Amino acid sequence: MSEANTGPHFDIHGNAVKLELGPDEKARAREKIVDVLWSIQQKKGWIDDESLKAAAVECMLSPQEADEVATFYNLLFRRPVGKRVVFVCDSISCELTGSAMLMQNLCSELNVKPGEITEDGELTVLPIVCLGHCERAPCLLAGETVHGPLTADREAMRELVAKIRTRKDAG
Amino acid sequence: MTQVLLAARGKNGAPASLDEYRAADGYQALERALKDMKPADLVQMAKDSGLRGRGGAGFPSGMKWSFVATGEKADGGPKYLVVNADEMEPGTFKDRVMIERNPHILIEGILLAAYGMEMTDGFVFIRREYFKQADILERAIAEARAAGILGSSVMGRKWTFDIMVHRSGGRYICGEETALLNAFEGRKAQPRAKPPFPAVRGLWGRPTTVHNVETLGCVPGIVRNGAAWFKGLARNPEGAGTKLYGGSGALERPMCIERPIGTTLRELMAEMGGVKGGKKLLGVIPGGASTAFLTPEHLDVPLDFDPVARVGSRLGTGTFIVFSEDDCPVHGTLNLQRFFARESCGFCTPCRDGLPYGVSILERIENGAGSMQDLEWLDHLYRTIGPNSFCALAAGAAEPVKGLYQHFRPILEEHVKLGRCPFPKRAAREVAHA
Repeated sequence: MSEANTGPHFDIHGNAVKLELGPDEKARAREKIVDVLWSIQQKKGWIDDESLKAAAVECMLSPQEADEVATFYNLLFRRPVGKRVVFVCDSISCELTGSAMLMQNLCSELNVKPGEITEDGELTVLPIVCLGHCERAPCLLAGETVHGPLTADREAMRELVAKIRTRKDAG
Repeated sequence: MTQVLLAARGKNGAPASLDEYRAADGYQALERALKDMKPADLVQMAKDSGLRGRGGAGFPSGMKWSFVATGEKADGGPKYLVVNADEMEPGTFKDRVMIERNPHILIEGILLAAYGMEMTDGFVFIRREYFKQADILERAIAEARAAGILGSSVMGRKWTFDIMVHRSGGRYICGEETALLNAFEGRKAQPRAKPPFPAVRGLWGRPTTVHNVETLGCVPGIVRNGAAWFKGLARNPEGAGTKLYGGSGALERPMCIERPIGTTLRELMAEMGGVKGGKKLLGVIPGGASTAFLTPEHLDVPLDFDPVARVGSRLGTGTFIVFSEDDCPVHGTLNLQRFFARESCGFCTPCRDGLPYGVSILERIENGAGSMQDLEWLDHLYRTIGPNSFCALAAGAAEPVKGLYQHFRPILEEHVKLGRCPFPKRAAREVAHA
């Protein structure tokens, strides 16, 4: 919630808003659950049982309620992954421009199957639904950076993987 | 070239700053509305403008605004405007482009809609994969706060209004408005029963309106230049405004451009360099994954809600996906169905169990092991799933299958008769999905 939600609050007519009709403390705590789980994942790489319980307490939820959320969303992991996850879009625009070949090349370059962790513990490759960068298809998301349009060229793939490993791909 | 939503330009492709937005007449509409207009005037203006929701459904925005109780009819508690920036419909990337280039137009649109519906808080629900776009939006919100446009006294008035950005955990179903509200509240994103509609009981049980990014982007222009001006922007008589059209797939230069609504596929594809490699056009999916195929005979149909509906498809998000003569529509539909099956929230049986079953039949047909009976059964399956599922996701999934049968039935039968996919790229695809 924004700060304005907790301070004095006036509607467009200048009347004080009856904030007591809005969310209570519990509802506000619950709203944060995805962000809390995400920040745990940023630190630990994934959400283990202990962290999940802590997140549940912070958001005034039962561990089961927190786990419902943790297991539902695509970007939250309940099992270990590499330090960085490379998401390869496999939806229609990328598919039409060669995402299958891209996924194949990336996996053979890293010697993993989708979902596995590379030997050095650095990377995991996962398929993901449309990344919303269809004019750059086929594309992938590494960290916070989208790369595309990519080609089936193995040399270019090798260079990209090297950049992703060393986190020199941001921009 | 009509540029309204993307009129403001930042330097070197950066998002337009507050000053740059103001240089393109930004925030004039808000000033005018706060000075000269009553909330009801804004609702009437939205109705008169003919603005329809740009998120895919095309619902008349003015009517949506009128569903929210205001004035004496309201109870004086919080009311929320929620922006749907989830944008996970495959092939859709227009809202991202608007936020990247002109974030303040969204903020002004939110404020105007909020004023019209007497809202007390604004929230943007954005998919987490849009890391940079969420940051851009938050920076623009901070700029607006610093300039007194948002915060404890909007434009110097005794009106408290702020906008918070909520980043999603990522699931397609979050784009469904009631599922979005559940996601926002920190729950599984499963749709809610309607009624009660969000305008009555939405976020935290309070009156809520959920709008698409592009829809709100249209509002400042309407208020600044009038409803008649907005209507006049369209290319077809029944249309209103401009549209962010996107093209991707087998195109020479895939991109997102703003053009008058009602521009034809032929014109848009020509601007994007035509079909990749000079190949022939097989067909397009006109507006994201949950719309039915169009074929070359539809190249001159105005891309607006009603004209596209009249030829048996939907405008959807207005971001079309191009198939060349080398792209198998059965394989394309299989890809779409894998998407829908994977992203089903699992709440209702027709969707959770029906969609994976559809995938298995499509796989059989595409791999050459399908029978004529499979063709009948697949058609029947999707006709059954759509009307029997809880929300619109599965009904949307049925759309491309409907188009496949309508326009490409001979290709489906060829798969069965030959015992293989008759299109060229098959080898590489088979390996990848093995």
